[in-house]
Amino acid sequence: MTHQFPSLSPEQKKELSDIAQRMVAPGKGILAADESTGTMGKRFEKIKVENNEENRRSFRELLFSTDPSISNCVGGIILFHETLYQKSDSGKLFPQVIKDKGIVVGIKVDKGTAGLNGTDGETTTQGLDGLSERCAQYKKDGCDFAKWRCVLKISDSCPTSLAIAENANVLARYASICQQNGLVPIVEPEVLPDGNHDLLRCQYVTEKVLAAVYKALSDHHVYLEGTLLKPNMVTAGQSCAKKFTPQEVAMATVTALRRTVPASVPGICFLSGGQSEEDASLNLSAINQVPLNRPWKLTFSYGRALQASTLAAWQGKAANKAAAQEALCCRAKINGLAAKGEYKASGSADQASKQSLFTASYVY
Amino acid sequence: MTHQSPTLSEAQKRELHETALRIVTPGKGILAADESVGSIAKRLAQVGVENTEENRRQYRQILFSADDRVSGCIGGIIFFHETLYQHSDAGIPFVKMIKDRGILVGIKVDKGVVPMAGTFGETTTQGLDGLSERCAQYKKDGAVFAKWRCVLKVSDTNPSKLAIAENANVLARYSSICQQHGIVPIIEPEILPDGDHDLKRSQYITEKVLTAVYKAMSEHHVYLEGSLLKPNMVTSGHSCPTKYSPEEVAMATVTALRRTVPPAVTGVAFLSGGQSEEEATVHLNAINNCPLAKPWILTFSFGRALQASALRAWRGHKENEKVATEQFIKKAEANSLACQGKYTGGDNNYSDAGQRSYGSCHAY
Repeated sequence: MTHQFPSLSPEQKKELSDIAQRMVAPGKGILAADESTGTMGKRFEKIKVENNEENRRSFRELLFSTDPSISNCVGGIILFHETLYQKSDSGKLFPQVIKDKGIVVGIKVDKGTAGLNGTDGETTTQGLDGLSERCAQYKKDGCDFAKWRCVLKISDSCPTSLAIAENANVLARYASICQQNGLVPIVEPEVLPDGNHDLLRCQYVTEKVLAAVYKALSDHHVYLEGTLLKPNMVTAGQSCAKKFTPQEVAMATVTALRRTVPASVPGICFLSGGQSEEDASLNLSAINQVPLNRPWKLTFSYGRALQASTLAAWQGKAANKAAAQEALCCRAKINGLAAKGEYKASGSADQASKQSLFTASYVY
Repeated sequence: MTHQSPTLSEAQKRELHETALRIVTPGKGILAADESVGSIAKRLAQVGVENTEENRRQYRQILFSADDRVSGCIGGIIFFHETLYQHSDAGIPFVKMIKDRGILVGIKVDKGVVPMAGTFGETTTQGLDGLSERCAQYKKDGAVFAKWRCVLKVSDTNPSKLAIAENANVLARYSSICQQHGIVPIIEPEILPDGDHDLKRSQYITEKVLTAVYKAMSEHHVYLEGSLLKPNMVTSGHSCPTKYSPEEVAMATVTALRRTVPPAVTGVAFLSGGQSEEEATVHLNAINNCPLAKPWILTFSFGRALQASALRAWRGHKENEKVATEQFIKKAEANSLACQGKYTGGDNNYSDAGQRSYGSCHAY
């Protein structure tokens, strides 16, 4: 650790930093539309839509051809590999449709979790093989950022130091490779909400996990100004008897981040992790009101929490397209406000938005 | 790393955090008057004064008799063990004199560096034995913060992985023990300026060292809000042929800190490490004017850079005492301005530091 070998040129660093800043510009967040084929199937099941390629294309077309004003609240959209090469009804490739709105295109690059032998069901994430070549191709095909999800869980014996160290390391390798190819890596170390642990326990585990992540990123010489973090908010477990307010969630979350995330990271985009659309928005807004110094942008990278109402309105029927897009715009605007700490519960949130979107042991 | 064993109660945390805040109240910094008997010998020799206990007492008296003007500039004074139990000519304990000015008392608790076999002259620092009992006693005797200095060197082979890890670990053990006794630990991982390395190299090494320090702090469950950091500024080596402007030093320093020091750390108080009084002040001023977001207080913990002129004015003569004290007060006031980015005095080489442009030397 004595001499620095050049990893990125000043131009490469500037490009990465600029992309990251654009994605988390004030009032903007990320739409996570990167559900794998299998996961999309689970979504479609709920609205009795068949899981075929055309339906998946059709639903994403609905999302991406929404009114251009959505770019006021959405700075980036994460795609799944298949979607990157699909076209809109008018024959335009989806990345181009998104870019035309001034939104940055991203791509999920991990290949799912793999079990860690000798642990109680803990995992690491695979996808490093040939990642450099894949990233180079994705960059050519219009992507400027990538996403990789690692998963940790809380139980009496978990997370173990192995799980923490292994996932932190694989996230750092992924991040390093992305940056070499001009892609901003979104680093996602999700601590699942499954369990009956309380808020304090979640905070403690989140702090340990994030400290390990940033040590690994340093060890792998990752350029922090050209990365984004996608963590869980600090919440009690789904089956915890005690309920906590958005202000308590916010304080625990910001405290954990202040203790672990360097100020040079430009933005933190929370995953919604099974929270209802409304809770995800209220919690994000409360986070942006915590009276502690928050040197990074605090915004959203939501999948379910942005799409639940949209799916419910769509029901797979073309006639419902406009209504479904309206629902998406509505949620996007709300989260845009939440990212500035300006969203207050109006009391008029509908049934769909209040529904918990929790699925045990969530796997993409 | 699954369950948190309670380390500090809410009340203990609050006490530590409030103490840390008081030491680095805006406009205030630290006077490091904790030179060991061996170190002070060198200083006294330079002005022809014999190194006796009485002379050491006389010299510290000059600093501690400063009038009310220092109350707005000095938040804390670090003592050496012997000094903690000395009195003024009038029989007033030094500790009381300091406290009466509203200044907090700190104590150096390490027992000096020791070599590590198998390295190229690298060291760790000793002093952990019985540290808990010593801290309890120091707290009774009026100290509310402590200091421990580790030393790293830059050369072709250094710092080694071992030196970085070992020093980070010992700093974390020391911090953990202090906090158990209501004492705020000042964490000092000094990277010596000896050598011909350039600014970039110094920045790189500082980043690696500080990342390791904060990973160790996390592992040892240290409460960051109740701690302070005392790092070197990022400067090129003493014998580096390239000279850097205060803005370049400031940009490199703040960038390194932003990449490594969690926002939860209450304050960063730089060591002066052999810089002249003026150089240290001008650099501190430039650091506070650096346009990057800085989530911690950035102030001083100077020894030589606050005392050099006072020492020279005194030369061991009682009749020079008032003039010597006046010199110290002037330096305290200058650094009080510098830690708010308002210092405008100084010689031609370093004047108008606050007005220069940072544009061209943005460190990516």
